[in-house]
Amino acid sequence: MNIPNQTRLPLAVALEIVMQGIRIRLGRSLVTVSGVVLGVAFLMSILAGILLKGAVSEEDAVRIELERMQNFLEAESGAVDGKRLGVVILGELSNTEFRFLKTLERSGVERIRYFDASGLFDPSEFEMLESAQAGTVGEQASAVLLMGASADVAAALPVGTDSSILLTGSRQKLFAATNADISLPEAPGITTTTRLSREFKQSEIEAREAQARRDRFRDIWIIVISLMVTVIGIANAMLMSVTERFREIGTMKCLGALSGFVRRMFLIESAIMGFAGGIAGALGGILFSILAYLFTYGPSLVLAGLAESFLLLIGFGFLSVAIGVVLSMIAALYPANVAAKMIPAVALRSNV
Amino acid sequence: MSNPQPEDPATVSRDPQTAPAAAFEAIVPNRVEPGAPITRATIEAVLAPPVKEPRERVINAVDVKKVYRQGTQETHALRGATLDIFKNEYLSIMGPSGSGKSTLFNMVGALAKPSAGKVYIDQVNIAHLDQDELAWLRCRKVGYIFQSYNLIQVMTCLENVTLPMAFAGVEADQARERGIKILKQVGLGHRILHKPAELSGGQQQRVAIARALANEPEIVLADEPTANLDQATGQEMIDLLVRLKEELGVTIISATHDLKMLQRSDRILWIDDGRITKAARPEEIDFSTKEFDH
Repeated sequence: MNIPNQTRLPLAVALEIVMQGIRIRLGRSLVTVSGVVLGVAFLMSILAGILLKGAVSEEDAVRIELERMQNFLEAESGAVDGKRLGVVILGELSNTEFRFLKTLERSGVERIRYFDASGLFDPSEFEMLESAQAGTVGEQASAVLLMGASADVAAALPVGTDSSILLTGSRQKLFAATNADISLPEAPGITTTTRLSREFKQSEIEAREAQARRDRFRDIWIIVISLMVTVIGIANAMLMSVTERFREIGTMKCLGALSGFVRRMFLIESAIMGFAGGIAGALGGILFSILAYLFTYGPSLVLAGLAESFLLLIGFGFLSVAIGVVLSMIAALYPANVAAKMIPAVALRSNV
Repeated sequence: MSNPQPEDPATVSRDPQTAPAAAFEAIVPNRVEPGAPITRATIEAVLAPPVKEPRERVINAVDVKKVYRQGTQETHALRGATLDIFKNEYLSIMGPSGSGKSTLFNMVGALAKPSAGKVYIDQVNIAHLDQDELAWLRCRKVGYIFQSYNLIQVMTCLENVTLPMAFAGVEADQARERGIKILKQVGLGHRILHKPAELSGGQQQRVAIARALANEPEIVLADEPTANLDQATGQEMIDLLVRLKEELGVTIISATHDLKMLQRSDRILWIDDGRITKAARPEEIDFSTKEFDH
């Protein structure tokens, strides 16, 4: 008699058997899955937290800066409410400058006239801007703002050619909005020149970067530890499951199951549970960190942060699910091996 | 109690070194053709005591030894057992726990390999098989019936019966059809979609028997199949096994202490301390002695 190798079953058969097992032993499966859920949820909440914190604190900083700039402006030239303003656009606006202009629009100014020295400005996004000539931009304005980056401020600025951009009123004031590299010009009729934006010292920036590095290191450390705990938890649960099913595995081997089939069964089971737990954990983690940030920063900041980091957040979600699957398969390696190596005669022991 | 009968040709192979069945059949007297050339085999055949009918060996174990090692300690579970098991025979194995009964049982069921000696199952020496080939053999040649049924709890009766067919690579539709047929044969046609937990012990054992027969094995190995059943159900199970043996021509090997099973079997082996100590037909045994008093 010629004995061929035992038939290798297609994956579908193993999958079907595994699905049945998970469905019937739902209670135990849920316990194992909840380990994955917790691990992945923790990972995801940290990742989402990092993303949201970045986006939210950036937005927070911009808002504080805008408020500060307006306060500064109003301290120098009186409340802008009902006043007229002039703006000289020297180059492309930075995000902060753009939003500062918007903020001024909303804070009840009567009119803003602008002179575009760069030719790059698109006024269609604003409602109150009126185009003006260089010579009339500061007419009856309580303040004139310089905005936009320019390599050569003196050349871009129409000062000197016509003795004044700036015009009437004896208490003209000139402000540079945010660009640190605009050296404020001396001009006739101008009583004060002031920079609105804050300048950071080098040491301040360094300290902030060092703090960010420490935070990142701590985050990674926490994530690694929590994932290791998760792996050990899953491995323990799977090992229990194998021990519980000794007789079942032995019986299957008596019926002709190959060791590889048994091993594959446990790996598939673990992968499925990792996938389910990963999805639940990723959703739970995202939800948790959004709620936590809503609680601390309020809805408007968090929504702005979410809008900015949405795609990255989804990407991290997929990554977390993948990590869940891989981790639970790693955790199942040893238990699956124990199951695969079992001798079929175990099935005959009636008191196992 | 009668004595062991080592001379009985049905009990002990006369020449352990002879390779399996074909050679054995040649020395059965009524297979010797008139006018055939006189060889050593024909002379031996004529001198040998007559056998009632030609019998084909399904399992041939020769001087089988099994040693379990645990650290430096050696346990001799089998100390040299030699036996033949014939096609369509119903053999019962008796022996106290620790006698080597389970070990012998595992050997003839291709569940374990001997440390020394040879075990031929259907003329194949299982010592030469690797894991894959052993799995193939278990799947197709041997059906197992367990004391505690060992049904897969998460599967329906039908799925339990079709599982070994799936392992044998039988197509799902075909397996299903055949599974239903076998379940009807054992009297469970109306319960095919029930889970084992919803069935009585006797019904579960019927499913187990159906599962054992799934791949049309030549050998059915039954480990105390009636031990967990009440008297009446046990009797039904024995009737079913005997009926299947007669209808399907399978060989049944059973480890048991059940008097009713022993009485219905064709031959009984006693095993003690790793050796086969006695072999007899049920009609030669006085079942009223203390040994059978359970």
